[in-house]
Amino acid sequence: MKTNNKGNGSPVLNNLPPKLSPFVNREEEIRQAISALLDSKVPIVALVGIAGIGKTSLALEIAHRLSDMGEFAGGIMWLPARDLQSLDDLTDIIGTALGVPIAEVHSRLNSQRCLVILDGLDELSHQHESGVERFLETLPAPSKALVTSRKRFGISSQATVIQVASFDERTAIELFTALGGQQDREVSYIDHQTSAEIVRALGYHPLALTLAARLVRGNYAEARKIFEQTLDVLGDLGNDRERAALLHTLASVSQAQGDYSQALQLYQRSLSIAEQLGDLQAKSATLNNLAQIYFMQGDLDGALRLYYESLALKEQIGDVYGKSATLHNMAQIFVTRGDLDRALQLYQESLALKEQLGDVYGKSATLNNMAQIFVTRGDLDHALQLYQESLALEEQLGDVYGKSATLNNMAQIFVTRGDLDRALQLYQESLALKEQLGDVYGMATTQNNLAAAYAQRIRGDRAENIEQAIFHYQQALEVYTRQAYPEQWATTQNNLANAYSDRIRGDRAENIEQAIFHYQQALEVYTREAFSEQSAVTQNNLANAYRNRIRGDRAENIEQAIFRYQQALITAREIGDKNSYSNISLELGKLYIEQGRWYDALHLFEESLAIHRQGDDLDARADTIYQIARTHHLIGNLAKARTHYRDALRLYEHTRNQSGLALCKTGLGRLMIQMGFLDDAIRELESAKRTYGQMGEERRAAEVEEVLQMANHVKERQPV
Amino acid sequence: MSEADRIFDELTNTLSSWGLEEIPFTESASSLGISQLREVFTGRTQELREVLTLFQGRERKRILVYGWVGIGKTAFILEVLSVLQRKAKDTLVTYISLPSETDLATAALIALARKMEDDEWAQHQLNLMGLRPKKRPVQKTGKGKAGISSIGIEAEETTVPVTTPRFPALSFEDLLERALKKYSRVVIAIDDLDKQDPARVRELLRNNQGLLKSGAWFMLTGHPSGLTRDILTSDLGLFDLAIELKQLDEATTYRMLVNYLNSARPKNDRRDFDDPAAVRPFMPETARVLCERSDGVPRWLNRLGSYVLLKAATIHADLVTDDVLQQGLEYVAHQLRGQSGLTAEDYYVLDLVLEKRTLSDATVTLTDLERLKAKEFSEILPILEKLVQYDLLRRLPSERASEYEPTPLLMGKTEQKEDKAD
Repeated sequence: MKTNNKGNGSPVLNNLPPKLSPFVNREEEIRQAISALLDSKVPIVALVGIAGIGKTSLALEIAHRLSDMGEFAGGIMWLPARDLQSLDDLTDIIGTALGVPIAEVHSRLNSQRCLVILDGLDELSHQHESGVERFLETLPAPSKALVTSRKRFGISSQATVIQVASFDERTAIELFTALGGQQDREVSYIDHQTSAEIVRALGYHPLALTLAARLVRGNYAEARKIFEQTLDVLGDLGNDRERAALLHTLASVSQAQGDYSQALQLYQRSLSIAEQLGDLQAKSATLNNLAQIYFMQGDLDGALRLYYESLALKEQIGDVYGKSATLHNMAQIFVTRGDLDRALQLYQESLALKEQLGDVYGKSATLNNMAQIFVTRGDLDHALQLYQESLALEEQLGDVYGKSATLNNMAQIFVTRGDLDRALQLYQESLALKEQLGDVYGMATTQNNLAAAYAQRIRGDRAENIEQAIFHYQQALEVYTRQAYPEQWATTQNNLANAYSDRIRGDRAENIEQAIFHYQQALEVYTREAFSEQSAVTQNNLANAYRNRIRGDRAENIEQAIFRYQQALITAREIGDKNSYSNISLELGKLYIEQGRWYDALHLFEESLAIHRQGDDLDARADTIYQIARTHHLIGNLAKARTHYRDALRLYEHTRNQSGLALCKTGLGRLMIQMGFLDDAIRELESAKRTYGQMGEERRAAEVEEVLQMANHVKERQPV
Repeated sequence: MSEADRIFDELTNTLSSWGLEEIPFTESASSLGISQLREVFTGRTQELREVLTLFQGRERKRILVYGWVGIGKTAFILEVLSVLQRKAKDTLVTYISLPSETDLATAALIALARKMEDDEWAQHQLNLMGLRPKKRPVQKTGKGKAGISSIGIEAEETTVPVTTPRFPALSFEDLLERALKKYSRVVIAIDDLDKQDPARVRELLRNNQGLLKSGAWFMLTGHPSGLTRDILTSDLGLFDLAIELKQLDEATTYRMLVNYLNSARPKNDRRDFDDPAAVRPFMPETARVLCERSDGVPRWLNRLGSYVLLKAATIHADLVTDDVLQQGLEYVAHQLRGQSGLTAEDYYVLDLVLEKRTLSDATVTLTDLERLKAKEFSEILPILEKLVQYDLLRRLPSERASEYEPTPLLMGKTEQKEDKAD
């Protein structure tokens, strides 16, 4: 028997088990309970609530508080009801606790203020029920009883009943994160976003949260044990409503863990019980979660069906909050289907209800999703507007996490618009908030975006921008480890390599080596089988790097480059990516020409042209035709070259591509000299020179000038 | 007697009233027999002299004969070969039209092997390629009765699967060596290179340089000048002589017409060139118009002659008067347009050329091309070339541009006192 010596200074005898920690906010309930217990008119206080809602912890906390306060100097006794074998047990335990023989228990209770706590009254075996009831009813005046029970029934009419309900979201998240051990980042990291989702899915139910937290920690064995125990108990007690509720919350734990088949099973069980009971509220909640699972498994039609059912029920029971949530979820399905109009409609409906309810948090989430739709549609102004609204609400709520996400999304918009400075600003803000939250994964995402924005940035010092990009990519890589996030790791490796490849500062040769290294890293994850598109792009990038490589044996580097281009081409062809195919063909073709492999180049360009002929991009088509012309020119097929130059010229004139026009005219001019048509040659070359002049390309204009002079020379020496 | 019989007799009668046994005109010289070719071959004196001079020498030569479609390259080569066959000693001559998808060495190999009928290895090569040799190669397998040696009892033929030669150039060289043991000179003519894309021809030549440097004489045909130029001006040094066959002058064309008509007459009925009856059923004036219209291109002369006579026969004309000629010319244009093998796309292109009078890569507009559902001149080039093969278009000799215009065969009736087209 411990003695607590606080408050008044007088020791209070008790056999209380230690407080359960961590304990979260139940101040309201505690206040109510203590005030009732200290009220002379109230003999019994009963804490009532569904399984696992925290009655025991609450009772314990109340008891410890009272003890610390020095109340109930006669003694505070903790009696788990299920341990009672007989009525005599009760008095026996009390006697032992107080240090008096059984016969004197009653007089002690009469003379001193004691508190008897009976935890889990509903777990009493049936035979002892009436006995205990009588005991409580005849409890002598100064002493009080505090009982916890799942049922209201069977409690004395004299008792003051305090309903113990679920937590609010904030409290729930607090409990969950505390239990889940957020300090332990390495192994069991769950980011804030996921925590919030889990907590919501679990309906803020403390036991469920505890279980989930245990699961999160990997303590599956323990979680299962608790689960089975509770289910058994509920089954024995014939406590269907609670069973259904527990099945539901445990299903949502499985769901949050990604074990969809387990979750489905449990939901179905919960659903059938709820149906039997005619419990519409429970049914609609379970339908909602079931629908989510169908959605995650890709069965959109199934999901929608269930949402509609759930919606109808919610209408019936007048659950406006539930309705708004379901409408929001349904909208998401339509987004996935690509039916953006319908999705927007549903979001609007959800938004209206949330306004009605004053659900600020829900509003900000819906606004965010709506903004996303406008981004997809390209209506960036509208999207920004909605993000601003959402941001304001998040400020209001103090929703730091939401704010950081919204800032990130807004930054994306500015990137799309080309306003990189603004984007950078917003990214930095978002980053700061995420750091505040300790959202390491979120930080990595933003670092990545930030780096990408720097890499694109035109204003400011280019060299410095690239340095920034490199820095931020490396930061991102500290979180994106290969084991934990292979895809993001690979993407960032590729991007980092790109940055090194463009890098201005530092030793060029070394930069290229770095680029090559990082591309190869990326390719370890981006295999052709798993990530064909990315594989092709990265192979192409690597090929370019080898082409520019300074170190190593030149011939070998070129061979590597050619090999990589070919690999990229194979992949592009396999996945039917025509654009990439023709772009890469162009690069490889140019390389072939440099190497003097003209016919290989020609073959490749012609394949590429065949693809362009089916598309609409006239500039790309003209570029390829120009290359073909150039190759024929080099081979010496002058007539063919001429026809192709002219074809390219025609297209460039149509698209008003000045650079292309100048290139073609220069080529044609040279050709005409070779063919002996000097007047034609001079005309083309002068036109090319003019165009280069207009474009401000002084160097090229000068090159053309040289050729012109040569042409004039030849012309002068020709016999009249 | 059936209707068909009656018609046949009618036509035969008409022809014989003209003094002709048949209509002598053909599309290509390769459908003529050797003796017929000798009868109709006209002109090209200068060119023949140049080529045959070379053949007086010992050292092997490579000759390129180039010019327009239908200008008479095949006829020229065949004529040279037949002269060599008749007059030159110890000379093996062979001719082949280049099959598509075939390289020069393989073509040369086939041509040579076909001529070496008695050479087993040569015939074996042909068999391997799935080509029927003149004499079947026979693999003798002995089937003996017990104990008795079995030479020459039953000869079994075994079929061998078709394979293309892996090293045709080497196979050719082997074969050539064997041939040169028996002959002092081997001449190989490879025709119809101009039916292939000029760039491809270039590539073929480039890849088969060894072939052209071997010990055989080669005669190759090539494209019109604009396209051949690129081959000639390169410093590959592949040809010793490049002969351009140009359009014949009117007088020579007239003589060619007489030769053709004579070749269809019984020997005792043949006429001299200055005899007006030589061109019967044509009249000298209509014959001249015909020759003018054919613009010195033998193929066109053949086409015109053939269709005009056909028309004349159908209307039972005794003579080809001006009126009959005009009907004939209309008929030519009509028939040519209606040739089978022409697709809708071909007609679109043809009509565009007819509309614009000429179509060239320098002057064509994007709008013109889009009418043809194209955006590049290169896309319609194959069609233009096809139309050239069908005698509907001709390619102008300019090197400044690829220019095409309709052939005179499409002109139809002559305009009254029209200006000479330049």
